Amino acid sequence: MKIETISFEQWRRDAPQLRAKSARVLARFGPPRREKPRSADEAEFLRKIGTPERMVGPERVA
Amino acid sequence: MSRSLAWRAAGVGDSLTFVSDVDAHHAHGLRAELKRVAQGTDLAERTLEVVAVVEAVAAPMGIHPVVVGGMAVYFWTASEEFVTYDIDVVMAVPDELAAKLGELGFIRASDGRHWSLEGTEVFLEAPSAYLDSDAVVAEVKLQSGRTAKVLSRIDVLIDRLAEFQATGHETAAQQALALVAGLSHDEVDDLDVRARTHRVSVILDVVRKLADELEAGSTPPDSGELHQIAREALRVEYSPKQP
Repeated sequence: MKIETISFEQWRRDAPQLRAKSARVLARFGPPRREKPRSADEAEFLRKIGTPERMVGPERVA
Repeated sequence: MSRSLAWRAAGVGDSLTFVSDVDAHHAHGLRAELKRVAQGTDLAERTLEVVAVVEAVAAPMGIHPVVVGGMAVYFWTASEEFVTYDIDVVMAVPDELAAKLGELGFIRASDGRHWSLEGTEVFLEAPSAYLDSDAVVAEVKLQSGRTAKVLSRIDVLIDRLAEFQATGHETAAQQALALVAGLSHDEVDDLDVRARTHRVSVILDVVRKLADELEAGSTPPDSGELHQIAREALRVEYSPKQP
């Protein structure tokens, strides 16, 4: 496994530029909505930790 | 008590008892540290610190958790649009590590692959034990002095391209677009080679072109068009090459 090193300070410095680049390409999309189903248990826990419903996505039918 | 003081306190013949005392002391300290870092307000730092503490107990077993999935997308795009707040890590969880995670305060879900940290909102998922053999990992040096590993931007992008190509899902397409937008010049050549190896070079070209068009102000494709783009890329990628 090849490993590259980065400091968290460097990430923090780069983050505003990364965020701006992402925002430019995604600006005209609506908010992302997960389409891939999850298990009911996982969905329930994600709701508990504050995951937006659009990213919890559909629940897998058992 | 420091380790050196503890060693001096231990008598001859007590070393085995002492080792377990030190382990217990160490585990107690890490558990307290984990609880502290899990309350952090910076999402990226909190995530990486939690994974770094997990690595501290896993590394002696030769196990090094690597952040993948949505949190890795967040790390490389800084976009909270895709955040689900759970932490996907690639790592094996043998019984010995499962016991250590329990000592840290993690509770294992009945499915065996999800772990929640008692009294916090930390939710860890270990969906698999192995990365691709050619995977590159970024080791992030944290302000605490610990380190945490995150799958590289190129590997996360390849993963999202593969998902978009296979499913046509809009979220995977958006994640790939955001990751492409953040690529550095140095990463482009490596990406092209690895995209061919992973059979996502056609969808990569499409996503790059789409990113340019979107930056120029074009209207994004709708869900039906994205599914069509993915199907066509998959067909071309896997069509037999003409001599």
